[in-house]
Amino acid sequence: MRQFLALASRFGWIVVPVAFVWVLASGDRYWQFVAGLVIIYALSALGLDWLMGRAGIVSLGNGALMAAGAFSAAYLSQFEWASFPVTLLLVTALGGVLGLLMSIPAARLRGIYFALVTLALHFIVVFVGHQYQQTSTAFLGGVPVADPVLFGYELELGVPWLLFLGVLLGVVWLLLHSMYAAHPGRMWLAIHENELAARTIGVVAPRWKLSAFVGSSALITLSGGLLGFYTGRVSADTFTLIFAIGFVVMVIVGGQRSVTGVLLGATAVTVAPLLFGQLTRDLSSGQAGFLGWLRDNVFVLNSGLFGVFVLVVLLYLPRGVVPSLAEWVRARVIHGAAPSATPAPLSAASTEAAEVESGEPPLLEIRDLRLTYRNGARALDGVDLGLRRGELLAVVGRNGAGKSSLMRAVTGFYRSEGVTLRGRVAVDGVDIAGRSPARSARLGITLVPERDKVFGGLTVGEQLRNVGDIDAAKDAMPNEWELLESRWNSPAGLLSGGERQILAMTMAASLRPRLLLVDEMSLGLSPIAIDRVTRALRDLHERTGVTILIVEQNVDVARGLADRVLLMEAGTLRPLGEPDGSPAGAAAAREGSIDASR
Amino acid sequence: MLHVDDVSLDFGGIKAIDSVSLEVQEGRCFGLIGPNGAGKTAMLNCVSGVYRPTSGAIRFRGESLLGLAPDQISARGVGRTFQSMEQFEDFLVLDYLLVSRSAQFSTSTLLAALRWPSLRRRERDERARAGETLEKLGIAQYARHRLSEVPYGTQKLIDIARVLCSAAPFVLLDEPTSGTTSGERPSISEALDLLLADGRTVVVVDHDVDFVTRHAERVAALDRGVLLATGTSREVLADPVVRRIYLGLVNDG
Amino acid sequence: MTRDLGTLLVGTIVDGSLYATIGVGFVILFRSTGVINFAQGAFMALGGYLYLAATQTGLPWLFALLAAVAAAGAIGAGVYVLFFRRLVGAELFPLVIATLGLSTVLTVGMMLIWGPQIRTLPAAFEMRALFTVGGMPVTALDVFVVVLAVVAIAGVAGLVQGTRLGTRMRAVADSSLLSGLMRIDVNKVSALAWGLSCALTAAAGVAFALRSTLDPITSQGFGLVAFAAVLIGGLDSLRGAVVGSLILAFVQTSAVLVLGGSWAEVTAYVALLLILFTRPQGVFGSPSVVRL
Repeated sequence: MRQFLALASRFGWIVVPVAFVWVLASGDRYWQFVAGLVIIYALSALGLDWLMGRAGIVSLGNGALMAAGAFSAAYLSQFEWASFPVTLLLVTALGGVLGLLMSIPAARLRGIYFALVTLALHFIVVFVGHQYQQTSTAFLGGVPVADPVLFGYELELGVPWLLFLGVLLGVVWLLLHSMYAAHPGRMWLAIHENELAARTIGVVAPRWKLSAFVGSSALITLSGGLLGFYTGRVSADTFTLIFAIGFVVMVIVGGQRSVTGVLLGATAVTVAPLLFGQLTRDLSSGQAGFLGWLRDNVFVLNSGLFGVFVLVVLLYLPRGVVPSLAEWVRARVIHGAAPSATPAPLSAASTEAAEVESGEPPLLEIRDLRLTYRNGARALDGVDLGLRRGELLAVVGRNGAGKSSLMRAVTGFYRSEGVTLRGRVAVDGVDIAGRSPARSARLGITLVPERDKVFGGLTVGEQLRNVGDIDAAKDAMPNEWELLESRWNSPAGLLSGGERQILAMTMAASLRPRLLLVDEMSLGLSPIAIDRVTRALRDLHERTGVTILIVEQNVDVARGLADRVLLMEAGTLRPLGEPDGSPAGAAAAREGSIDASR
Repeated sequence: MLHVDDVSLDFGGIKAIDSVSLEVQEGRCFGLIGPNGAGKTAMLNCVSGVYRPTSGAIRFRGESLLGLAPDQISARGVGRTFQSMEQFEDFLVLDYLLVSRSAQFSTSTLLAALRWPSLRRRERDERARAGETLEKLGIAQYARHRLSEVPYGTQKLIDIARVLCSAAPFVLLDEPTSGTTSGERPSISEALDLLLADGRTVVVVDHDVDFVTRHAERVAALDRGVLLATGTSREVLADPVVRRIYLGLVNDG
Repeated sequence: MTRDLGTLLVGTIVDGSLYATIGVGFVILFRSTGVINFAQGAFMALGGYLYLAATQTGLPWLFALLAAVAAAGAIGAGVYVLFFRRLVGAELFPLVIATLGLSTVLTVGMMLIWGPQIRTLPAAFEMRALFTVGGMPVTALDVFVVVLAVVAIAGVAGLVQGTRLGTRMRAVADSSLLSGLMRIDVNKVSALAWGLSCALTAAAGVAFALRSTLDPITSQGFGLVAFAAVLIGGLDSLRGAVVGSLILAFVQTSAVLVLGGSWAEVTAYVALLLILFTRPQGVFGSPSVVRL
């Protein structure tokens, strides 16, 4: 089975030439014409994939470039000297020049803004096309394009045209494949993944973006020229916004960075409406009812078909059909053979330390918690922890020991964060591991995060009045209330670090939490500010009796506040001795959080 | 080799770096330590051209790096690794090793498309070389894997393999041990030793003080953008301010 | 000459009001959910059709307008709950394409229900000039459009600045992660933002259809131009949306006066290009920050 899948993923592309030969040999003029159209659109979509899938530049410019190609083909083909191949070469060269021009705004504008530039260009080019058509009454129904003659043979619709297009597609496919598999492909992928990072490791991004622009625009413009010759007439009405977006849809549906995927996308977007139309006609000749309604409205329905495609693909196969399939196969072929990636578990001795011995069930109970991030980083490696009601517990440890991950594991993660949690996290005996932050917030678990702990764009007053209960906030922080009131109307983004921390803790208290988590309370604060927020938190604890878990890098702060201090190292917890400073605790402190003193 | 002279960096009024001066000698390993938010990575990003310092000068082999684009700085021989490799996770490992060897490849897209024989030969040679580097680090079995399919610690190793593969004489290592397990650290240490043995100059930024002091002869400690102390690792660790602010140890005497 | 000036003034204010109403809806959605909604044109047409349906049941125009706006808002919130809630965290460009997909689906839905032909709405006002500005007659409809825009924008601004719900919307825009931690229902707030945005757009759609005709294709073109206005002002600024709308309406009206009616749309895009070249984040927008 695995071998079959491996073969399928290696040689799946063969479907394309087989389908081509089949249509070519079928003798069905209609489908031969459609196949030619599919190939022309596929060339354009391949150009877009070059730009978007490989080099990471999003563009809605296919309509504009194809219009430019089609109109210039029509214009050139009226001259005696401009034979079919010469015209196509000139059109392709024009595309390259247009690509060169497009790279100028692209150097200044990123992402969606550049896409909007191409959108604006689309309307401008189509407008120019309309104006050109109005120069002669003969052009009103479309500018005629001369019949294509290739080396003395007139290319007729049907087999000759289809053969020509098939060979062209094959050549383009080969050229693209060679590029993508070699140095240029690596450079574009690096830019696509992260342009700035790529530049710092030696990718000359402007140069490679330029070549992607020139090449892809030449290809797309060539496809426009071919469309002109193929249909015999060029009208600006062809190049609607929907037409331009259609190519983005082909690439997204079929799958970026996959030539086979793009071909599939081009086929699906072009053929599906035709098949649907034929189907409804065949099914419903002369019938009334639902099928009759379907037949009457098939034209309208078809125009919305690609909207359905896009929504379905984005919701269920966000990488596109072919890459999702390939991924599925790859997971079976490669991962089955992959070396074991799990490191040996750490010593079991470290897990038994943090037990609670009293009879009362703990408010927060964590058992053998393991946490792995999407990128494979292991942050927690078997954590055990019990937190009594009303206790104030501190976890210390250096940067990267897994402290913040422990906090987030209690509040839960969003599915999009791609975190794997194993083990038990229970509050009042209810297992909450794997719930979203919103759900655990409703259970009364409130986290003051390390960063973004206040709403920077809202004033102090706005967030205290509108987030929780203002009376609860006042009760919890009577000594700091004056400070907060003095800042009442200033945006929280303008507060100092200490003020921000006080505001964040007040806001958390205003929700009357059952369990309050504070992440790196003293980080980045001056000694005076540290004293102040420490006092505020101690006050809050004494007044409300809320159960509190803090994580700290600063051992002094943790000791000054907490009933109990635990040390976190490499994703596990162990005790750091009592705040009274037994020799064992001090030794652990030196050994653990301060590797330097060894 | 690298002179950082009185560099400051402001982010909307917050000083990420405040008048820091550093000097890195050729062929040595230089360490930069400090807690979260101390400005270590910001400093590194100033050198590799991601940020432009608000004031000060950065000179590499006597030439100012200010105002140069990141790729121009890289072309002058400054290589670097990343804290997290998530950004390049779609790369195949072997391909990723070749990214920093732009100078060794022709820049012609057309010749690549036409499979020009000399280019194909070059491609084969480079791939073989990259494969050897992976072997040297004992991770050759991952060559055909995607970066996202490789354990985290190995990703970091692969990033170091990339700079080892590149021709950069000067290398910035950004948090090479963060997020790795204690089992993975020795191999990262070995990779760093390989870089040094190859004659590269290395600046290593990390919060694992042990790891940094094991390799670096000279160390600088930063806190909230301010340079606390520089010197040999022994001197810096003995500095009372460093002990107070970074290590929080003063009460233990 | 004075007549031209009058035309310019009235055209700028009336068209600008329409763009601004759509633009404010746009900015609200973008700020709270990060979605750049290209389905604005479809929601405009939807507003027009709903209004038409409401008047056909015999409702007087004001009630029909309110009913249409409320219904469009409900549909907008429904769109979030059905589709876009599941796309939270997706990249910007696929989201844009998703809204384009939504736009075609909505358009097809409307064509199926109300037919593909171009409709005109029953006139709510007499088309008599109330007064003239520099020789340019101003009709009750013109006044209605401006009043609608002022009421709608002031209402939204009041909601966002002055109410608990509005403050929570801004909180979600600020940081959706912190909002979740602070027990703010991010889904509810996002659905509300969608509803509000679509309601505003629908109101503008009714006004637009009253001024010209009602069909999805024309609305789509107008919605896109309104988007250009937003970009000119800056994607994330309410004030920018209003100012950008007025700038764009001024440029367009001048172009139509000098060059003729067919130039209206293309000048909007040329203006957009010029602005993006000189000031990529728009007049009032905040520049985005790069991190590594």
